[in-house]
Amino acid sequence: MNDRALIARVVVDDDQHAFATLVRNYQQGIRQFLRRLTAGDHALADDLAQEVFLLAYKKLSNFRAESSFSTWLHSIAYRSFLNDRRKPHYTHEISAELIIAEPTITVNPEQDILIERLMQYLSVAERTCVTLAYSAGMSHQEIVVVAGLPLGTVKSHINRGKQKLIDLVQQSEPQKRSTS
Amino acid sequence: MNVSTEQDLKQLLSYNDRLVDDRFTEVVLHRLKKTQRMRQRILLIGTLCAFLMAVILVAMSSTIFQPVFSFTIKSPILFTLALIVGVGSCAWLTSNDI
Repeated sequence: MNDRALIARVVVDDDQHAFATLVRNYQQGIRQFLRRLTAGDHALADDLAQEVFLLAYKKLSNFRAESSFSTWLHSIAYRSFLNDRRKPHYTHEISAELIIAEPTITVNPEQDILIERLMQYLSVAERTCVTLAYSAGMSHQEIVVVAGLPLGTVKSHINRGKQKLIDLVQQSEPQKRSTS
Repeated sequence: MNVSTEQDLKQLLSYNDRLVDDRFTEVVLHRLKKTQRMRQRILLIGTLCAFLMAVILVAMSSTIFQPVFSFTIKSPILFTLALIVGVGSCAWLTSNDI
């Protein structure tokens, strides 16, 4: 059964099995996206992912299929993350210049963990655009929809974020060699 | 880790963990059911209160609308507030946003 049919069953019949299928199909993308946005805070990312699906269930009748369901879910996830970030517990991004002095940043064999940790050196807009472009495989137009930013801004965030990440990975290479 | 090409970056940033577990789906559904149960309970309590109030008012008067009229005359502000609360509760309970 495709997404449209599943969504129709949830909206019309309040079919929770259909909704469970949607959750199963999309949890990977949403949870990974939020892990990147939260820079590796897995507990927070999963809490937010649950909120995203609950919100999606409530707002499913508003889904107009102007974008894909995945894009729509990612935009909910992005807004949920921004809302959560306004709460006082959230820690701010760290300046990219601090990476050399930061002792906890070493190359981890787990690539996902490394990337999640490196994400904290990018601004929220940069990590959002870079993750959507390179990890979720979205087009620039889809990123415009998710992040609500103009196309030019999205492109410059991607370029800046990409360059920062390349620099960070190259900086952490000597650290890895010196520690091994 | 050498990141020299666009392909390297894609490889570096790709999602490697497979995050599909039924536990997550169960938690989402459990939370959904909990919200719906709470909503149903509030709706039931509201309906029972309204029914009880209606029964009392009808029982206390000789004509059906007499209690409403006397309530309006005795306390128009309270009557207005009761109406606002009633209409507001109905709108809130049916909005599906609780």
